[in-house]
Formats: sequence, C-alpha cells, structure tokens
Amino acid sequence: MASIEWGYRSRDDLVREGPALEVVINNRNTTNPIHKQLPALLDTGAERNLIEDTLASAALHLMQVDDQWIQTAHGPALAPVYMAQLTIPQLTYSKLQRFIGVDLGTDRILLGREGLVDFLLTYSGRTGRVTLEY
Amino acid sequence: MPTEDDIRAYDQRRTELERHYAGKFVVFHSGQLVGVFDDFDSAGEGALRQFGDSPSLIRKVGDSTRKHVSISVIRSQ
Repeated sequence: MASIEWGYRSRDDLVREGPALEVVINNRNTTNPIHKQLPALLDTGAERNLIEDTLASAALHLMQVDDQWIQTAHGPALAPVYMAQLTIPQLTYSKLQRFIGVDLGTDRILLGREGLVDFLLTYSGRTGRVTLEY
Repeated sequence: MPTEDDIRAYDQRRTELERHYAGKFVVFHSGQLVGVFDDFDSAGEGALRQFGDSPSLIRKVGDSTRKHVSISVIRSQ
C-alpha cells in the first residue's frame, strides 16, 4: 500500500487550510487533451466531489456526463456533473471520477466521500499531519 | 453533455434499472443503454472506449438528479 504524509507547521494551519494536496486533473479528450495540477481539499463533510465550474467547463473542457440538483446559498440549483481523470502522482493513483461543477471561488477541487472510497485517510488534528494511503 | 434522448431513456427505464442494477453505474448513448458497470471508473472507460468524445449519460442507478447532495463549502476570508 502506498502512502503520503504531509502537514503544516502548526495544527492551527491545518485547521485553517484543511487537508489539501496537489493532484492532476485530465480531461481525457482525444482531440484536445488538457491536464492541470491543482489543489484538492479532502472533504469528508461532502458526499460528492466538487470542482470549480469555470475551471471544469472553460479551462479543462471536461466532458459533462450528467446533472445534479444541489443546495446552494441561493437555493436549489441544477449543476453539471463532469468526468475527469484524477491522478495523485505520489500514490500512483489514477482513475476516472465524477465531479459536480459549482462556484468554489478558486481553481480547486474538493474530494468528497465518494472520491475517497479507495483510500485510508488519517487526520491528526493534534499534530497537524495528514496521511493518505491507497 | 448528455442528450435529452439519453436522459429520457434513463427515466423511462428507471424502475427496471433500480430493480436489477441498484448501485451500479449505467451508460446511455443515443438513447440506448450500452453498459452496466460496478464503478464510475469502469463506466467512464467503457464510454470513452466506445464513443470517444461523443457525449454519454453516466449515472449511478438509484441516484436521483432531484436529490439534493450535501456539499460543505464554507470558507473564511
């Protein structure tokens, strides 16, 4: 089993920043392949994976494969569901996953519980360290 | 994005799909069910292999688009 451990100088930094690591997103498009490295927040409070919608549609040109109703601050909204190849180089992990396009305010993704099903996640609030195993 | 034909085809077969394939991922293309898979990775690979960049509907059977998924996007400034 491969694992990566990372963390912050203090546990307060982990509280503020959350458990985030660098991943690579690939659109798997045959005519216009695009990949981008970006931060992924590991978010066990979210059921599904999320991606900044403008990044998904305008920059990465991800393929939309479904729609999903989501609850936003402005009420319910129908959001696009995209398909993307998620790669975590340090873990030699690379699989297609689905991401709901939402306004995250910045170019990043959130890996929710669905995206974390393959992993063992250890979160040490005491030390500010996080371990992800695959 | 998935076509109206694919979404309509899924809705027409929803009861049958939920009876036989609950929890599986299905792929619809051109209004036809073209594959049933155990996980999204396999479904996506199957769709890409058969149809390339042409849009398909990939949905987990039992997921309702009307269900509101929980998201937790709270950030301090």
